[in-house]
Amino acid sequence: MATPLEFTEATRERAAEILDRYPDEYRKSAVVPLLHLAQEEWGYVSPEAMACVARLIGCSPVKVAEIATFYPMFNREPVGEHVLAVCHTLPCALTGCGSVFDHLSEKLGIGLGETTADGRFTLRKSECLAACDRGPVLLVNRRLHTHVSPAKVDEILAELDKG
Amino acid sequence: MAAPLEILTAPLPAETDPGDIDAYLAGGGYGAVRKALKSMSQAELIEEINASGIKGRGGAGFSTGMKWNLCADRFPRYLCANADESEPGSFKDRLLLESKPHQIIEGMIITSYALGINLGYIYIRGEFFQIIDQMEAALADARKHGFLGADILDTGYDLELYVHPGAGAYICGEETGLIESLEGNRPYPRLKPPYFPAAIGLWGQPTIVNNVETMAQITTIVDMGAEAYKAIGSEEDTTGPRLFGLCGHVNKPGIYEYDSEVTLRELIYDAAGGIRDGNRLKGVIPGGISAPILTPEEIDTPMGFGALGKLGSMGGTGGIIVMDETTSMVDALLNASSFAAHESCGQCTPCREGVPWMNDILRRIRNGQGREEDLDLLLDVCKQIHGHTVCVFGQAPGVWPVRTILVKYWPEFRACIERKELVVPPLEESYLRPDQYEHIPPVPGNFRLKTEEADAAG
Amino acid sequence: MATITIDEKQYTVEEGRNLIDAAADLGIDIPHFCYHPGLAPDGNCRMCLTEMEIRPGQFGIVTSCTIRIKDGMNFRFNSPAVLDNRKGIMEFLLINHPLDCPWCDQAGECKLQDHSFDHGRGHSRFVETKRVPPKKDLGPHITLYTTRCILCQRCTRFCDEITGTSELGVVQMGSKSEIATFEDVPLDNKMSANVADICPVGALVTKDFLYKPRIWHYEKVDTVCPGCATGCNTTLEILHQKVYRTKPRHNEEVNGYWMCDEGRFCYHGWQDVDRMKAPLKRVDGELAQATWPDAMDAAVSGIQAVLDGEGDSAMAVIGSPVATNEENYLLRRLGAEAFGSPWTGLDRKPDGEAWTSKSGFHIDADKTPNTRGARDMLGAGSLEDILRGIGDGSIRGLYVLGGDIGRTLSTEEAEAFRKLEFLVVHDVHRSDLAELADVVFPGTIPFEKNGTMTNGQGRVQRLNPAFPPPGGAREDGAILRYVGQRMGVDLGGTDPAGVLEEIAGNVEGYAGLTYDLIGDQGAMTGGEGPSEAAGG
Ligand SMILES: Cc1cc2nc3c(=O)[nH]c(=O)nc-3n(C[C@H](O)[C@H](O)[C@H](O)COP(=O)(O)O)c2cc1C
Ligand code: SF4
Ligand code: SF4
Ligand code: SF4
Ligand code: FES
Ligand code: FES
Repeated sequence: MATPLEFTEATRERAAEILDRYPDEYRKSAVVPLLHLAQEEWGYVSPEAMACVARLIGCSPVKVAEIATFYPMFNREPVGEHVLAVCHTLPCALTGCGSVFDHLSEKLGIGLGETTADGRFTLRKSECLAACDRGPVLLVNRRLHTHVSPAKVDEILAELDKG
Repeated sequence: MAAPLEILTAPLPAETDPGDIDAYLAGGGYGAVRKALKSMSQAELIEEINASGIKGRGGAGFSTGMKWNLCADRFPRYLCANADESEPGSFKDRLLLESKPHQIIEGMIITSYALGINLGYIYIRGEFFQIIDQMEAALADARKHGFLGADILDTGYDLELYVHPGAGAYICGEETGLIESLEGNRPYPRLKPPYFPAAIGLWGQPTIVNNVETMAQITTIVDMGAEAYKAIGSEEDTTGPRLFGLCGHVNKPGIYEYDSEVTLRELIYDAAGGIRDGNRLKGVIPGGISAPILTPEEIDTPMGFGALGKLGSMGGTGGIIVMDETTSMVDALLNASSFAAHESCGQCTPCREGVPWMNDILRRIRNGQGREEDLDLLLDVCKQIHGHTVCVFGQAPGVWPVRTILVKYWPEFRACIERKELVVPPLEESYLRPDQYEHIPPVPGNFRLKTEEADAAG
Repeated sequence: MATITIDEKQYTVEEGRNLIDAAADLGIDIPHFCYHPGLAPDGNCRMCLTEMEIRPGQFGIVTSCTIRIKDGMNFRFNSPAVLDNRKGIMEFLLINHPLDCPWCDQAGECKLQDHSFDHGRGHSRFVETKRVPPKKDLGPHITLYTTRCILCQRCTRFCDEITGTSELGVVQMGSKSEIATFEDVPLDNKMSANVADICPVGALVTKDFLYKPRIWHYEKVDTVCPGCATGCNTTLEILHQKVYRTKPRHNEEVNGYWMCDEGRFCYHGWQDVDRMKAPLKRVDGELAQATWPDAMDAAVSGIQAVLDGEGDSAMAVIGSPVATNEENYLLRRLGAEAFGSPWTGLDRKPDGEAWTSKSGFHIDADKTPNTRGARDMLGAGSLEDILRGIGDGSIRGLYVLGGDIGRTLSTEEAEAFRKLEFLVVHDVHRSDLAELADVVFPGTIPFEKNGTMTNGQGRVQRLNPAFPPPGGAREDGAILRYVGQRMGVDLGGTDPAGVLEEIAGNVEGYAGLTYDLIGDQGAMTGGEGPSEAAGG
């Protein structure tokens, strides 16, 4: 494995705060929140990041890998600067998420799960995001866009391009 | 026509930030907490909730009073508010989390106090980024105002509540999967018995898992009193206000608040403004993707958990997915099945192997390579899964959609197989009428089609 | 005890026992994959579902592996619902299973294969594409054939519950789930190879047993591991006078269901050693092969010369912690009756590492299997006493039961032994010790021994010979008797059960012990009840 990773000082403080939320003998409870922190810090959860979290909670690293590989939100590999996830579950499918995905795919020139060559965008599908009344919906990083159409996709991309 | 309610959906004063505790307090917020902690004993509170007749809003419609009463007499006990809302077609919890975070916190405080709980978590699905931030801030404000922490309102009662984020797995909504997730393990649901959360839950201790809407409603019950609460809806079936979320092919998708006596027809045609483009209804899933589908002839039903159960469907989450006559039911089922295949946690054999297998078969049918025997095979696989899994997932999103959509829209599936391509037959020819299939009971065992009629219709 | 009903017949079984185990006690097999009696039940495979009366007259599906017997329980093991489920589970497990039984090392002891004969459908309704994840090297001893894994999690639970080392986990989600280790943290603990035993299919295999002859060719012999004073109960798998595999044999009081890797694979060391095929005797300062009568003559006359010399008790004997109780007992008699010697010593090699697993499985620091028994047989007396005796000249001749291939002599020991006028040694190869001897008798390794040993907790256990000693080697007991005979002392019959009877009459703590009582689970010395379980 590559050199061990450590959280920065600031992240370590946040990690300590998270660990404080659980009784001391159940530090492992913090594994998901800590993996979120790791992903914020390094963009994705590498084996080195898993090992770092394992050290913090004091468990075998494979027990962190069990968690990090289970949940779809944890990126196992580096992702683009912007992660675009098109909801493709039934209600959004009924309202036309297919054309949203196709349009994005065509505009960005990438397929499902791929990242653009310039590292700007990663394209994904997501399961229902609990905004079915406003579908199709598109999660751009942390922000949910609703009533998305191909035209709105263009606006969203333009906005992201502006920074 | 039933009248819409504005209890849970009561609008906020204009331009208030839903997370703002001062605005909430100005509107009488935390009154329920004051009332409960200052003027009611734990026993009185539990009795009040019992008397309200409230059924949990997480999907199963289980009596909240009964759940509380079943809580084992051991301490510490813990609270987990379930805000994992991931059932496709459900978005009511999001509305409450976005608009009424303090009402949810109030419900959590009251529940904890009633049951002698001193530590609780609200498990929020990971994709709810803003909601998580807002809830963290709201909890901090509540703490600052003395509603959380040590010696709340000088009653000597201590409580800590924290947010615990999920990370995108549907199974964490299942109460024991949620507990495993909170313990930092793979969210594999636990065997019941013996692991009923109220008996052996978080860290092995008695734990109350309630849906966040249930939490918000606890606040409502304490505010208005059990008497007034149970006057809403029907005491025989489901009491209190309900949040119905309509989506799919309706003109005005959104959340509508009614009592449970409202009919599905009223919700679709009156509340949500009818079907888009003046199209006809083809099918409606009345309570989240797991709820067995209803055909156009079946929508004159009240929306109580009991009434829908009698129809062989369920109240579920109140998320209503409406599909018009242009919808391919083969595509719709394939979509539902893909969701289930993607979200199966993989712990137990029938669900891990059977659900993706059904998905493969359905995809083949969708792509024009269905075989004559595939439909029976699908029903047989359903039977092999049903009742044999560790948790309800295997059957809820796993089996029920297949069993019910396949049987009710049998002619459409047959057409796809025969014509070796995706076809959407005219509405009349796409589904069976209720007298053409036997009642589909939500119990293990296969059910037989009246094949002659099915053949005639197909 | 509890009375339960199974398919309308009444049975009496132990209250609180797990239903699968209780049924097995009655000779009824409830098919199962994920349950293992040495691990906490997990309930994931769903093969064991049976019907239980939940309310009067109403039966419901339950997992047999999690049911604990209570009086009055009523089960259906053979109802259509139960049989249909089994058929369903078999089909589900097989749809993604490679069905490469002809190449699989588990063939013949695979639960999937067994059950598919009994409960399978016989033909496949699965026409989709099978998943084919690659095989993985998990650690020094274990390979994972990922395609064959049915995700029963016995292996992960073993590493969590038993060793506490948690090297294995399940990664990915749903149907993509796989057993895995983490990056550079292999499955490498003192008991790792047990996972291959408990894997119900051929997914986890020991590298040691890959591509060996199919399992139905082997003869099985129950014995005890010679690796340390724990004395794990084992079964050897034998073909053509060779051990091919060692598996732990269940003994709740000793090793539970487990054994350590060192003990499991120690047969290589014993078997690979360059065995002595004939006795040796020293001629013109060099050891040379001799016939048995020749070597016996040399030994007896050498011993006689020492005894005839000055001093009272010039001969001493040193017993062996890798020899049986019976062998050590006969050695003591030889010393006392033929040599008239009060000197008995017991060899003791330096301690190795002790280790106790999370579940309490114990590997002893004493890397010999019978220190306790040999000491009981020989009476007190240490190696140091003997060395001192040699040093001050009171001991001039020595008769040593050797045979421990792991034993090397320290310089002090070697120096002392060199001072001796006469040294007779039993050994299995030309060890340091044998090189110093005047006569060497080729004896047996533990796998060839017939008799008993007493483990560290004082449990007397049976060793059964897996095969006869090779070439000109002889059983050590027979050699001792022969020497006794030549010196005019009758050490009795050659049957180890008879020797044990004598031991029972003469050695403190062994009163009442017989082969019958010892059985295949051992019996405690001192007539104490079973001591605290070390296994688990
Ligand atoms: C597969 C599955 C997913 C579930 N997802 C959720 C969910 O996202 N939110 C929820 O509140 N309950 C969910 N539930 C129901 C919970 O298990 C539990 O019954 C509920 O949280 C209890 O709350 P209530 O009594 O207030 O309804 C789910 C159940 C199953 C079987
Ligand atoms: S039924 Fe499905 S989701 Fe539930 S435990 Fe089994 S595999 Fe997991
Ligand atoms: S490798 Fe074997 S023991 Fe481990 S989960 Fe797979 S089948 Fe079970
Ligand atoms: S613990 Fe000792 S007796 Fe048991 S297997 Fe290991 S070496 Fe052999
Ligand atoms: S289906 Fe897309 S948000 Fe629910
Ligand atoms: S043995 Fe009972 S579920 Fe696997």
